Amino acid sequence: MDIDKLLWLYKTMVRSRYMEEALLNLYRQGKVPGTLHLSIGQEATEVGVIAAMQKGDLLLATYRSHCPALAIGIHPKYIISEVLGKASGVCGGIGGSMHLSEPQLGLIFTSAIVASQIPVAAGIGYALRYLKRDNVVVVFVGDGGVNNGDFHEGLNFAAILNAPVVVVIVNNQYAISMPVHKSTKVKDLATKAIAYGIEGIIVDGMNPIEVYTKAKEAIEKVRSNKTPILIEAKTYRFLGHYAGDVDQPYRSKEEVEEWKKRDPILYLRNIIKEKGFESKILEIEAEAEKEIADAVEFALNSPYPEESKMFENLW
Amino acid sequence: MVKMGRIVTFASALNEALYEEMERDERVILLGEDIGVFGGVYKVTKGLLEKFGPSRVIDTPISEEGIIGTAIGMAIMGLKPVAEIMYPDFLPVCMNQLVNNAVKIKYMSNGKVSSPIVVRTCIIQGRGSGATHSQVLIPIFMHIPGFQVIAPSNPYDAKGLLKSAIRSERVTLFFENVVLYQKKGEIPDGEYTIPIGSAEIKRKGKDVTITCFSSTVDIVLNAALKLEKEGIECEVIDLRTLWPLDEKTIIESVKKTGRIVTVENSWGVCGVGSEIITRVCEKAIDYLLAPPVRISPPHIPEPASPALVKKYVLSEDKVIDGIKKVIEYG
Ligand SMILES: Cc1ncc(C[n+]2csc(CCOP(=O)(O)OP(=O)(O)O)c2C)c(N)n1
Ligand SMILES: [Mg+2]
Repeated sequence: MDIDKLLWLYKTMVRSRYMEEALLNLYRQGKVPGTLHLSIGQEATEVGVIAAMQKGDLLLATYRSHCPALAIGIHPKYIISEVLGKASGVCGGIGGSMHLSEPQLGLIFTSAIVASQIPVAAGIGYALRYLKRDNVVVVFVGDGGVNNGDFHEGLNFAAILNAPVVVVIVNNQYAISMPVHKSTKVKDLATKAIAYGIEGIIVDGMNPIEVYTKAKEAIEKVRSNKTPILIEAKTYRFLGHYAGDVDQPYRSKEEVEEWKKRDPILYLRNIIKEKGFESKILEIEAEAEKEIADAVEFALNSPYPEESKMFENLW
Repeated sequence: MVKMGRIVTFASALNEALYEEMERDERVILLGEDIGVFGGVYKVTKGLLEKFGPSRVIDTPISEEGIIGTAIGMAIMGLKPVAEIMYPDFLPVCMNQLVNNAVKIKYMSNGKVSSPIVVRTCIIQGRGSGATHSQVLIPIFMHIPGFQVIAPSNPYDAKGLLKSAIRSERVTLFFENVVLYQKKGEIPDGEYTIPIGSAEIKRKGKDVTITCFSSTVDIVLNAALKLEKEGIECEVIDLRTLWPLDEKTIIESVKKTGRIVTVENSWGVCGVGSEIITRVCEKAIDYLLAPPVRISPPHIPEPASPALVKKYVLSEDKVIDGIKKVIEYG
């Protein structure tokens, strides 16, 4: 893989990590309203897939989407502002941390009703083909979302409608406290593809290079064949389900530590370093640090929306 | 009068209700997301898995239709399932099982098959989590015939009503509220239940009748305390059960006060207040001294921004304004 791509993957993961660490800090200071779901640990999956998308490709995702939002091009200052409910947020502070949307950049919306985005992706995929656009729609769902009826109906629709949909299961091993092996008897979630007569592939979700390479291949195949593909990325969330989930009685500290050894950011950092680009790494890290500090400053100093705003856009 | 004994939180009162009913009747089974190992996202089911084991406390996948459908099947076979749907916002995901199976089977089978289930859910309004994690949705289940809808405001009622619901032969939707979970209150040491369908007059007054439930009760009681200083005497009715509605208590009160204000955290259009005011008009219109007033959040989804949440949710001030409106009318 060329160095520019590697550096982009690294930079995007680092920016996301710093942004989410800053959000966690704000949460601990009591400055974040509502709840906060962080992607820390699973950045390789989210960034790797989005890196494989082309201009005009579309994305639907979940309430755990600060990282995908940043990767698709939304500036962190607008993401942090949205989390804080500020007028400068990407959705004017109306949506909040779980409901992000920037169709201009490809992000249609993120859904906080588990799996409900999947049938919508089937419809978007159908429309893309109908409108003769050479684009695909990528949709993220968690390992827990796989067991919801909407997953089944959405995949079947995408398949029979020959809709260019790439369904990415972000298998971070848990749905809140429910380990994936207790929520299904299926060992590899990718095999669920068989039920819809489509292809299912497994990727190492901790390896950004593998995610990117395999997602790229899948996305291009879907683009030309107009048949959905199901990708299961095996990954891990390092933190609790939401920022307030500290005790995590459903998993052991050892297990978490074991997965942390596979931190995708450290992994890619070493690879780039070995290729002799350490100075680039330091540059990226320094820039990201400043960018995020400025973004937090911007968000904290932004005003809240006017009351009249909450009455807009209902129809 | 019940002899009181201990001070407990709303959440632990519910936990006790579940514990006692599970001990009393081994047909009682819990199922829902994250209720076992995790003890529920707000710890209401804490310790129950350890005590009663995984065949009675079932951690389920994120499959709301599956949860309710399975509960219905269990109930048909004589078990007493208590299902948890984390937040009311997810009730639409299992609406089909609730509306077309749970409250229809007994009717359509001419009484031969029935499925008395209890569905617990927790309102998380006003927390800044945005439009899909904040809804109340109670009136929908008053509209559809067959449900028993309960929304307690304090630990005593929470425990007594949940126990009654579990023993009941009807389909129950039991609305808890995150802002109440840590609220403390006194409960008796021994066993007690509270009849479903009975409201409670929390405060006597001659000037105006105010109905409320769940988290709005404390708001109304605080407002009533302030208005007392201005010489306005409020009669505050905690509905406790939304359906069946305790019409008698409401109508009697209105006949005394001549004024009605309804307060609810659900939307006002076709809401709890709409139904109450209609009944007041049907049964006591000659007693009314002023047009009724409904107080509810505006008819929009709940925004996420904390600045807007403050404007959206009910406040003491909004309640006081509404009450003054009926008083000042004459
Ligand atoms: C329909 C529905 N049911 C329940 C919830 C509550 N809930 C939010 S996230 C979550 C777990 C989701 O797990 P998974 O799909 O694996 O995604 P992850 O959180 O791991 O990213 C649950 C149960 C919800 N948001 N929507
Ligand atoms: Mg998961």
